[in-house]
Amino acid sequence: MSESGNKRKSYSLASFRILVVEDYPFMADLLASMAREFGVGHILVANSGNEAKEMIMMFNSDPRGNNIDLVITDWLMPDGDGKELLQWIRDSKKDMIKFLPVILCSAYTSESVVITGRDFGANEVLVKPLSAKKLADRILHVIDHPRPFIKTEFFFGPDRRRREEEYKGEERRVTQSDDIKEYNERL
Amino acid sequence: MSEKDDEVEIIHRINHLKRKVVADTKRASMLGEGRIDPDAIERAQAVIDDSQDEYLDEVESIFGDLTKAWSELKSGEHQAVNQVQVYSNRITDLASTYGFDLMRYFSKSLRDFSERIDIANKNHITIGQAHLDVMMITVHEKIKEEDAPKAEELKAVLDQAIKKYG
Repeated sequence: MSESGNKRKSYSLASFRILVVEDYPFMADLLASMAREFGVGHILVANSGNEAKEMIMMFNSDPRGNNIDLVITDWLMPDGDGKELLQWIRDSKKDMIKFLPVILCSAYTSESVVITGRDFGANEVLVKPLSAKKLADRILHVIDHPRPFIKTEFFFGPDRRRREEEYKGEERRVTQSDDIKEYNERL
Repeated sequence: MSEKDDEVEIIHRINHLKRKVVADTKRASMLGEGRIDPDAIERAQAVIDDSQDEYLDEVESIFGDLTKAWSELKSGEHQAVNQVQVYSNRITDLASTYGFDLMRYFSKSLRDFSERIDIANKNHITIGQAHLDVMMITVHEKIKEEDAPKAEELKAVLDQAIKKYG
């Protein structure tokens, strides 16, 4: 591990296992090659959401195993799209699956896709065009700024709020502070 | 809304990822932000830059798939709509990655249009065909910039078709 000029330390991603979910082989190769250059030790590629589910089931069913640490998924895919995959991950009964960090990677630039991605539990959204810096930034964000998970009757996923800012408008929240329960995971 | 509906659970998890990427796992939670080695980021960007030459062959190949799917759509095959959407999305993806702005403009327009296309509507077929026509010229003439004179001309042709038949 090397020390940088700005005192940030370079991470070693050698023990990281990333799953790239992309139906277009050219783009899947590109993403996998970039991750390899970042030093990611284990890279898996699934060409559909359905294949990704099988891989996640295989690797993340045993808590002591070599689990997938991060999923990078495309949005539009013919055989099980990104939205369906996200929904499946967040609906899982297994902690090793339901809390899995997911970066949604899409050529859709519309705000609705970004919002839908977050509403379905994506940790980060990478809007293409793809660049090494953008991909590195999203991976770092997942590592350095993991958001707490929120569970309500209608939503399960990372907190959708990006920043903690004081809200100055009219109070519209219906949840009382007594209704909020906080849990800290223990080792 | 019942009381149960209002319940919110906030789950703070141990940062397992950070523990995996730092040498001193016991101090992982105390360490600040890290980075990916800048040289590695540079090498990863070179992967994209070095594959730029493959763009033209690749886009031509997907455009062939798109043309085939479009023919099937025109002959009334509903499942071809999804293929048109997938292939136009792939072209959007590819063109935006390599900075082929005109192609990105047309393929994105076709992808968005294919989300609401009615294959029984002749006007919709005309608009779709106009997309394929301008995309074919863009591929064959290798036009990259969105604001080149020829690009402006092609965009105007498509806009007119959309205005007339949309």
